[in-house]
Amino acid sequence: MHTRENVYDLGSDWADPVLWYARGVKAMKAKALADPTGWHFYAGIHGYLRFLWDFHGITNPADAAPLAADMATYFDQCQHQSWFFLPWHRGYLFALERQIKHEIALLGGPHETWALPYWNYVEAGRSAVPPAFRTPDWPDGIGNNPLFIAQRWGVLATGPDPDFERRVNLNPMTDREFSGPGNGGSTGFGGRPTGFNWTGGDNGGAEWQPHNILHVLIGGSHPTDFLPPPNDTIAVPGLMSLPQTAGLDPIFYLHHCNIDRLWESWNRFPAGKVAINPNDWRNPSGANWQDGPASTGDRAFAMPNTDGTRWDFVPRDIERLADLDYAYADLTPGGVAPISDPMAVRVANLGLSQPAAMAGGVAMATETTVELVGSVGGSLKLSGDGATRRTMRLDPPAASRLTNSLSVGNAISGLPDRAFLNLENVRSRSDAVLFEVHIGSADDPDGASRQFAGTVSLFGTTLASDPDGGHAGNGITHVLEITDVMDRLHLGGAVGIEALDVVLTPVGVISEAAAVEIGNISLYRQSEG
Amino acid sequence: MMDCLRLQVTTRLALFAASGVAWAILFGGSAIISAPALCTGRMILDLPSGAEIRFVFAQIAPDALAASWAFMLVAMMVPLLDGPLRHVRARSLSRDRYRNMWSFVGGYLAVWFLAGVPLIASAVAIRIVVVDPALAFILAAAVAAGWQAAGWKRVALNRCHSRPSLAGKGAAAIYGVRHGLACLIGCAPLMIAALLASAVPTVVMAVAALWIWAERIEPPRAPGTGPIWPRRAARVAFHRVKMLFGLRGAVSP
Repeated sequence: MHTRENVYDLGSDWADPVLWYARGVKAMKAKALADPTGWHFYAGIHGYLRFLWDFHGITNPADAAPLAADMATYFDQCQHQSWFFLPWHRGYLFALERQIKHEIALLGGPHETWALPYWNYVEAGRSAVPPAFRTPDWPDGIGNNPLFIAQRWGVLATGPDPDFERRVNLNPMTDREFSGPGNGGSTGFGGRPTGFNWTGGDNGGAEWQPHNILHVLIGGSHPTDFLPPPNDTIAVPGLMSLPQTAGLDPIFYLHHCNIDRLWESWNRFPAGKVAINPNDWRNPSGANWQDGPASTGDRAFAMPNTDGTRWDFVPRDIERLADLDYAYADLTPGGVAPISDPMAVRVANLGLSQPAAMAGGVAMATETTVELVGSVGGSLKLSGDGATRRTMRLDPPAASRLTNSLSVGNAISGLPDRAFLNLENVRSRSDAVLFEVHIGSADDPDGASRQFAGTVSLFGTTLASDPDGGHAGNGITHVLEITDVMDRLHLGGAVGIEALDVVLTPVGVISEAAAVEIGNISLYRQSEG
Repeated sequence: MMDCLRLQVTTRLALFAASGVAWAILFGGSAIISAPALCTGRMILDLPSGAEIRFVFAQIAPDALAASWAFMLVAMMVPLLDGPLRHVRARSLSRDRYRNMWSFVGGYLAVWFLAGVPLIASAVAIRIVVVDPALAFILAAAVAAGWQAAGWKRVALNRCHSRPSLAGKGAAAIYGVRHGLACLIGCAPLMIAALLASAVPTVVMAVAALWIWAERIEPPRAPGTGPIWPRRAARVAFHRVKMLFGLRGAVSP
């Protein structure tokens, strides 16, 4: 059993696990693109966009592409907007870690004890990309550090983000369901059921926060350079900003190690956390998830073994870390231990009496209903650096059902409703886009009641935006849980029965050429009980 | 049971029930309801070769033709509406759900129903020009097979996976029309071939419906040409057989 440790707790910037990671990466980078055990091949397993790889000088146009059969088996596999997001990336990390260990063994290093470190960016003061990844030099001052990537242009590439605590959170860790009901309501911690889904659809909770946000905060886009024609109005995205280049950056694997750790933490930390339904904090048990997308007629998940042969895996093979012979040094999600019973805290904050469904810990199975409460009623484009404000009209009966469930003395016998803001069918020509969402009362022209609802990252959106392309142009739907926001607005007396204001504010500047469009913005309530 | 799971089950049951009734009527024909043979293809086959269009409608009552076409649509196409209908429901206020779902279905079926005029006319024209019924079917089937490899076919299939936002009045009906158009572009040649089946036409229709379902569950893919094979349906069937016989063992890394 080997242990994955916090990269910031290793004792020094170039502690042994980091140094041997760098040596392993260097060995893998020395291999040809077509070699299934090489660095570039592994990056292609996540996503492959040759013209951009050549443009960045990572590959040469003369480099031979991998065999067509290998590309069909391995390339463009990363699972996004899917309940396979977590298990696929766990298998991917496992295979990469095994390959690095193999390289370390060939170099005569400590391959038996080495493990990938994780980067817990949510801990105070640790949001910057770890120092060993930011310097072009090895620890002896000689250049060509393989962990350093010049194409990182996001704010975290050079230091901590002063707004990090607002932009990044672990709120999805409190979602008790792996896969929520969707249809406007919760997508769950792990995402909605899909087949093999490279990109496009509804983000799962962990994918929205912190995964997608971190990708763009690290990758960003070049401040002045543009892509080659015909995309010459689009700023060059950093490697981490795009699924088809993200696997080229060594920091990717430390980021995903943390996402994998958060999944394990969601499953079992803290011990004895309160479950309301029997399936809370558990992975899906059905064959459609356990047996992977091949069980529904899709591509299998396949990784290269260290000898170049093929390893097929399904979620049931990798859901228990003990089966993979590794563990995490610490499962504390952020910097502090999470609340073990967030629903009880919420109920107390709202001044409600404890519903019958919560009495005695695990309770009876509950009925879940998802209902549209209101919407902006049309699409909107987002560009520039200024705020875009829209009024969301609410359906009075639906809004009453939501506010009644939050009110003392209401007739609802179950749990208070949860609330979700849907940014539907978001399309863009650039993935390197972040914007913030605020919500407030429409009767409050000064915006004093406005509450921060979340940050949205467009990682993966370009692929999902082509109407004639492989994803039908549906774009990505972002489902932001705003239960706490609605609670605060409700307690502040600001939830109007007729309308709410939604304000979208770009982080930095969004160019017109990025063509960011949101199909609609809608509010849903989800009742449980 | 969760509301969404119940929705999925009830929607599918309703769609398959409607389709099942239509199939029963198509297979049973006049034995089930008091009407002439209800299979559109059979009606066309009954035409004497070389007949004029005016003569066609002397042989086939337009209302029976319209009814048979409607049954054919309900039987073959309605089961495909499960996903879009759940999308419409999810994006509707609770008091508008059923109205919007019916609007979607109305828009979708309106496109297909009106398309019956040129599609049936095409089948009749082929039947008149090509004297041999078997040859007429082979010709239409060849065109349908060629269409399988066309770039537009792939674009149309991709657009059948569209799940747009539904803001504004009439959005559900417009979505139904657009979905119907995409479906029509993708399937029209196959429908003409089904209309010209010379032997067991209702069985041919059922096979065509199965094919349309199988290619519809294929994931969308990048534009291009080349045949689209129902790989997912084949793999699902293969996997189910393997599971049935317990052929999948544990896989270790």
